[in-house]
Amino acid sequence: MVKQYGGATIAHIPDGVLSAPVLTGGALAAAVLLAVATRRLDYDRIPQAAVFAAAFFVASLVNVPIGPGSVHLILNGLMGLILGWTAVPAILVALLMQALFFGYGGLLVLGVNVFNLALPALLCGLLLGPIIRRAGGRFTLLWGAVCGALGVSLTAGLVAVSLAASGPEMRPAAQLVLAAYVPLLIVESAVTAFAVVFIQRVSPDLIWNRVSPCD
Amino acid sequence: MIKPTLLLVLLLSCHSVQAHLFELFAYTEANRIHGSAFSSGGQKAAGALIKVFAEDGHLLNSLKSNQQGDFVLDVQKPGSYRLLAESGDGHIAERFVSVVSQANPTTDKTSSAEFALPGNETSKKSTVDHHHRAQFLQQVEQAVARQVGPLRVELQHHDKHVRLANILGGIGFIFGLAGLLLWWRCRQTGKHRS
Repeated sequence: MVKQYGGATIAHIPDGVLSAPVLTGGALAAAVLLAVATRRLDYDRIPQAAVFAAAFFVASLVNVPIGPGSVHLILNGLMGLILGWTAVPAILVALLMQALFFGYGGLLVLGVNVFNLALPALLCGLLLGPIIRRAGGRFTLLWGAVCGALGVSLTAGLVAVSLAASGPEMRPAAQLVLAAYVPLLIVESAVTAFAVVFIQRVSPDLIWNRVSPCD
Repeated sequence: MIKPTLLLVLLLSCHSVQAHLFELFAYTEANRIHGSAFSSGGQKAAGALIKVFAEDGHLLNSLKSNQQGDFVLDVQKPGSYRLLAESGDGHIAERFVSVVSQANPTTDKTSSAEFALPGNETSKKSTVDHHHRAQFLQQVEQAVARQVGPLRVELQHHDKHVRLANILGGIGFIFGLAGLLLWWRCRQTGKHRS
């Protein structure tokens, strides 16, 4: 008889890894975020949210070999910058689809995964969105890289905390996640930077609209 | 001047892409554990660290998978063992196996044991005693395990393989939900105006 619970990655914690208190706390925190996001939902950004959710859904399928290992994009920093609060339901839907169609993550751990990805996205939008808009098109590449790096760093930290809080036997896994996020940081920063520059050229309204998406 | 889009394409160019779910498969043959580590895209996880824990949780052994992602380990006594595989990039996978026999696995695929099928009147050999029968059954189990093990690995590869239909289904579902939300919003807006 064999039993398998799959693998833990920097973004998808599978079912059967975290303890019940962590699962409950994560689900409650995600529910609070989702409730606030629903009240502040910008319906004008629903089409963009769908596009980003689809990109997030597919991004986890593409692994970029980095040395002996590999990483896949998260894109939560970019989502937070463009979508603001709308990024929360977008991330929820994308994670749910990944769990149902690919078995990535899980349904019980969905709340924790949503919180670990959506909170960094929101912080990127809140902190860096006004800075990028005030910059008026200058240093976009740099701020885009910072956005990607911040999103990945915060996500890695939250995932490590989630694992470490589930018991001493999960602490080596938490350390492994933190060690593995460095190559992802580099790739995500670069991709986010180029994506922000590209969006600035083809559809600047997404970034420099008059109303902040986090208002 | 180098265009950002070109740099983006170059950065994302790689010789292979695969899904990221990390899997560990293992089966037993007598007191030998055979296993393989791979990603759900089917790529072998060469050099993955494999740790073997006893029932009481203490670490028995650690080894690395070969270039094909495979590993073989002999255990001293029967029981349940926990295998933990680490890919080195943050992926871990776990599997439990049970070793139920103390017999040495044979590498000779052709058994020379004397046997006779019960009720076979055309057999040239007489009916074997109980010891030879048990030996024969054990060798049959080991031979079946050798043949079935790789098939189970292939089956798991196929089961975990990400299919295009699933990708398109997920994307369609996302846009469908967005469309439903916009339709609902339009109805609400229309009601308010009227």
